[in-house]
Amino acid sequence: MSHFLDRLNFFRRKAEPFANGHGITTEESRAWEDGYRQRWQHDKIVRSTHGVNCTGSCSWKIYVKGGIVTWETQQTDYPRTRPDLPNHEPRGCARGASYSWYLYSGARVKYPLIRARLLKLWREARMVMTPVAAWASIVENKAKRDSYTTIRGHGGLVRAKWDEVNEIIAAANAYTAKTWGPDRIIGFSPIPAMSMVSYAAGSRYLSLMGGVCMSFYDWYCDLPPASPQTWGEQTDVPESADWYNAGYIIVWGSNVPQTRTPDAHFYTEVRYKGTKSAVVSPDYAEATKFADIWLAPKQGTDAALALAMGHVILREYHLDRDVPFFKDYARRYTDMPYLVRLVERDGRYVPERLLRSSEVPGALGETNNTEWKTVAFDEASGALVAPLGSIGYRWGEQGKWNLESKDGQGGDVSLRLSLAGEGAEFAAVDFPYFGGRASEHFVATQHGEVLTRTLPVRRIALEGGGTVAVATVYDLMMANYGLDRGFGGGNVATSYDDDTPFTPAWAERITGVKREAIITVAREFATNAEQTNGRSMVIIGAAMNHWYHMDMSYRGVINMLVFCGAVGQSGGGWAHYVGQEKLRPQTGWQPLAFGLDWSRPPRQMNSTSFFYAQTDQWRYETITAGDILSPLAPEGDWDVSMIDYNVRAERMGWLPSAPQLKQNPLGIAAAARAKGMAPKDYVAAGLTDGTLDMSCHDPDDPANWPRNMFVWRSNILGSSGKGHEYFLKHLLGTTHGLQGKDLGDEGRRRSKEVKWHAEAPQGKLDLLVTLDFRMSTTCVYSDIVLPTATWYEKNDLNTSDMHPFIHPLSAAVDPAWEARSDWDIYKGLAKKFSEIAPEVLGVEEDVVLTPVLHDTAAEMAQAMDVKDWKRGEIAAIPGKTMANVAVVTRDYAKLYDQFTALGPLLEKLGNGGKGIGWNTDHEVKALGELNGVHTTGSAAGRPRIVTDIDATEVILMLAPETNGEVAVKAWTRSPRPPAASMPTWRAPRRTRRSASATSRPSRARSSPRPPGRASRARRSATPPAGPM
Amino acid sequence: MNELIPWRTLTGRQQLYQDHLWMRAFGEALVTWKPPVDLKTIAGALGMRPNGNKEIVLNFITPHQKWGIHSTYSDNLLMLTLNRGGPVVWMSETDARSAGLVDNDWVEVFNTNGALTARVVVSQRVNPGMMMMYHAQEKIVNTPGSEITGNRGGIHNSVTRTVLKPTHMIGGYAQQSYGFNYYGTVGSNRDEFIVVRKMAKVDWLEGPLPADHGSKVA
Repeated sequence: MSHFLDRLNFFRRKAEPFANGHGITTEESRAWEDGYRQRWQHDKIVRSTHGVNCTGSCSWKIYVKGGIVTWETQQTDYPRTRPDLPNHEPRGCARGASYSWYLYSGARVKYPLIRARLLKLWREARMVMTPVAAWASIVENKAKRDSYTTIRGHGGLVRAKWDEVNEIIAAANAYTAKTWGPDRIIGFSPIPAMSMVSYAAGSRYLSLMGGVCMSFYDWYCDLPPASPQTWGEQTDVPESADWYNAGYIIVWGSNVPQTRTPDAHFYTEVRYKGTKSAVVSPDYAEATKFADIWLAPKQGTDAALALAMGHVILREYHLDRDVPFFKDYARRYTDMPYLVRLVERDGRYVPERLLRSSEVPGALGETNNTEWKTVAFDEASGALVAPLGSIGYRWGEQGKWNLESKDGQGGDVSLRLSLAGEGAEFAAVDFPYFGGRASEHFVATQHGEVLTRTLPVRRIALEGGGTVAVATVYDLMMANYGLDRGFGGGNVATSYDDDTPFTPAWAERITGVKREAIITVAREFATNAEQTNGRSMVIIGAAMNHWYHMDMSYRGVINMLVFCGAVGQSGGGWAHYVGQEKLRPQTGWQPLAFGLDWSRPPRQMNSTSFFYAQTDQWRYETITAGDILSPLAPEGDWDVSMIDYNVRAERMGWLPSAPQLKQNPLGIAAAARAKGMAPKDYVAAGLTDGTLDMSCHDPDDPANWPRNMFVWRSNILGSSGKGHEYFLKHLLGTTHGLQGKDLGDEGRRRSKEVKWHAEAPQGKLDLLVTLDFRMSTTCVYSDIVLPTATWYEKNDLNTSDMHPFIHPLSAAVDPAWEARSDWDIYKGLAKKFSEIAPEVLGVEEDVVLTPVLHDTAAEMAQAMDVKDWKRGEIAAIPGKTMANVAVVTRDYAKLYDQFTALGPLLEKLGNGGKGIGWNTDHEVKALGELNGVHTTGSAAGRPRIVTDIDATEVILMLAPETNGEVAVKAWTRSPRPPAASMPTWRAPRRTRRSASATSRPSRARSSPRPPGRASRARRSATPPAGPM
Repeated sequence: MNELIPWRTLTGRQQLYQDHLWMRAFGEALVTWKPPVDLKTIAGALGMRPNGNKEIVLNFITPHQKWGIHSTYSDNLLMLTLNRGGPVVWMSETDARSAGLVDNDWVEVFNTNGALTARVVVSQRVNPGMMMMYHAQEKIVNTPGSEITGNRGGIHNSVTRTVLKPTHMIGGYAQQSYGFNYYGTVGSNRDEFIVVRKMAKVDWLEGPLPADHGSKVA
């Protein structure tokens, strides 16, 4: 009978029960079950991953049925990385598995959206005006501008057409560049590693235009400043697989199972090998259940705990007993043998800066960069030497920037750690102590602001006459930790029970952790390192780094590791996992992302300082310099506000600026020419005599406001925007919840360097544009929202610091509704901009300021002192005492042609990073063959970058991590001493292409680019990738 | 070390002594102990806008969330159904008792920076003296209006403010030279304290808009 008649069974007699009444046979329809089965059926499986900053970077199977993504599961085809390590898979967590919900949810942004009032104004203006004139007529009229800016966040977004919103955005950009300058157009997008092509789409558009790309890793407070301070390296950490090599692990302020879910298994597994683990966490976090011992210090007191552990390690493994491995490590790989000048003050000494070879008679035979070569005593000869490897050897000479135990004259040296011993003099040296400054919520101790300790010193003759007292960092370090070495004097401890900084008893009072526990963990940590040559590890995280004085907690922990020779050892060292900072193929990506193939330098800005100034948070500052200044601070004009310090740093070329000058940078070069001056000299002279001014001196002047802002791959207003209400009030100019009064109302101190306006501006931005696939808080506050492709709808690349694999994001389905990939969105904007720009812009000369950069010879700017040209202490010299000045020619009508083609500067200037460069002609040629070349237009003959796939090929072709030929070129230029061997392997000469990256997880290769990495010899196929 | 490649620092070694003038001025040439800084955002808020419920002061800590896709995606329905489905803050039993709160109460969290609303999770997990709020729970999901601001709830960063540290601004000095995302000021936020109290009235702001809607709060 028919299926329908089968279902007419209401009168059929019920079947007999069975199994003593426990079972019954029924015959109702089970057709509904098909719906359930169909839910999990699929036509195909596509490999993709999640473009998110969790560091997971997990490979996923995306199931597609009828052109719709139905669900996702973890991929299980990771290759083994080493025979003695557990496998990586399965990677992925429940949160990642929930992602496909977004594609067809109510939260999805389906169409371009725009604030209705803005659209109405635009259409009215556009009926009678050209695009740029139409935009001008809106934003130059206060009533019209206010009508849409003051209701940001109040709804009122309506659907619009792509063509129309593109035209509005392009017109706003062109107007802003022409009227105020391109550096008033800013873009915030974080963490390129999570979807590097999508990041590059916007940053390429902005960079070619002269707009500003905003930083993120520092703004998120995920950057640990202690890392660049200690190692000159942004962040370099072992992969999670290296946890399996550790003999002892302290998990300190990191919640591994919750925040590094796909990697946590290595931590579980290594404990089966017998590795012991201590967890430091004030709350009962998920990681604490893994602990053999749990230390729960009061939140924010980790530095005290680390200092007490350091006290124990130095006492028992450096002073009471010699551990040859630790001592040799300290001598060769740390600054502990180096000499510090001591200056007299109140009859005692205060440690000053490191002694330089230029100060010693004859400069120790050195002639190049003598102010940048540090000095130590040689153990055997007792002579002063300038050992190889200091920064002065890096620039202007060859073959001496390495860690061979030699000095600049070629002699073998073994550096002396302590000046104690025969003929030693002893002196009283002052150290600052801040422990008495704790607020009511923390324990303050009564030890005085200055702690005087006795240590061995030497007096040496200076070039040009006179003498200076010096001490080694080693001896200062021992004294600083309050260790009694029998030299007499106070403020040193003979017992762990003494209430002297920094004993375990002292730390117990501040942290609440029992001294016995502190001593036990310190001993276990150091003993393991002694027995394993440094395989003691600290996994460290945001809980430590998000405090104002994070440097102290981090340096406390770093010192423990260094004292135990653990940094740079497989299974040991510093493992900071906060943010997906490692963009492995960075040198391949940078030209694409910042348009370096067409013009250099790009504009980049540090977001923390930018938002502090431009959201007017500086007007409400409560911290004064006096709160944090050392009682031993040298003479100086220290009593100024925090923004004053930032302005001085911008002025001296230490930090970047955005906007840069109060004057439009498109007009500077012509003005210089009119005066017959080079732009560089013109800017320096103009700043000095006041005809030019830096924007940072008056962030509230309308000429210095940011005007257009792009947000993509980010939710800055719903997530990372510290001071959310200040953003709403001052940057956006809308309803806000700010409760406090500014310093003017409070009658408190104002800035010395920055102009104070009685009334702070509200609503600095003319236009806020956000690209997202879901209606986030940031979208709600935006003027225009552009619907972007989800992670399963676009082609991109994703890498992490946690493992060596490069993962593709793949378009499993087309972007739903009217969504487009980030690449296509910015490409569309570029096209529209090139059409519209000629209304006001032609070929323009843009004067770009860049700060003094790390890994360039300019990083040797002021060796001995800090001098500010603005205060007449020194001349304004671009690239030395102030920002560098460059002229970049921009052909605005050609921006689209440039966006979609690989430019000629790669052949002209080569490629590279972190001070190493190489010729890349062959790769550019290969890209032309792979992607094809443009046959028409201003970029004819250049390799195409038209699609997102083309863009991935550019990255993979140019980077040493993904192109064996480039890797060999890079390795042969790395700063190794002549005696050191080449790496034990040779990179295969093969380029990985995006097609093969989608077939199976594949590993990035080693690259030598950043010399001097913090963690060498790790289980990381890519040793030192330069994180972004 | 492998290849004898130097660190990119002044000495070429791991640099434990930071000798720049500004490092010495702020007492960080060598590592030392510095207590959290006092951001002074409580005095202008505590007891200023009473609603009849007891107010207590806690340290505001914003750890990584559990029920969102990392820091950004906390509006996913599948994840929301695994927890309380809206903004929550965590407090110790001791502090909750002292403030007259029980688990799942609606509370307001505020200081001079702003205010946010959330349900409270009372848990033995948390130490007395601190409040935890997972970042970043958005105000577009199940967030009622604030009694203090009259606006919808707020986010975890409604009660924070950026603070700068001069030592992070140093440049032109070997390893302390600028690089994009390499060195510079950082947006720390854990030294912040807040006032917490039970909400007297939970207003979902679903009524008609007041006539002056859209005008700025003074």
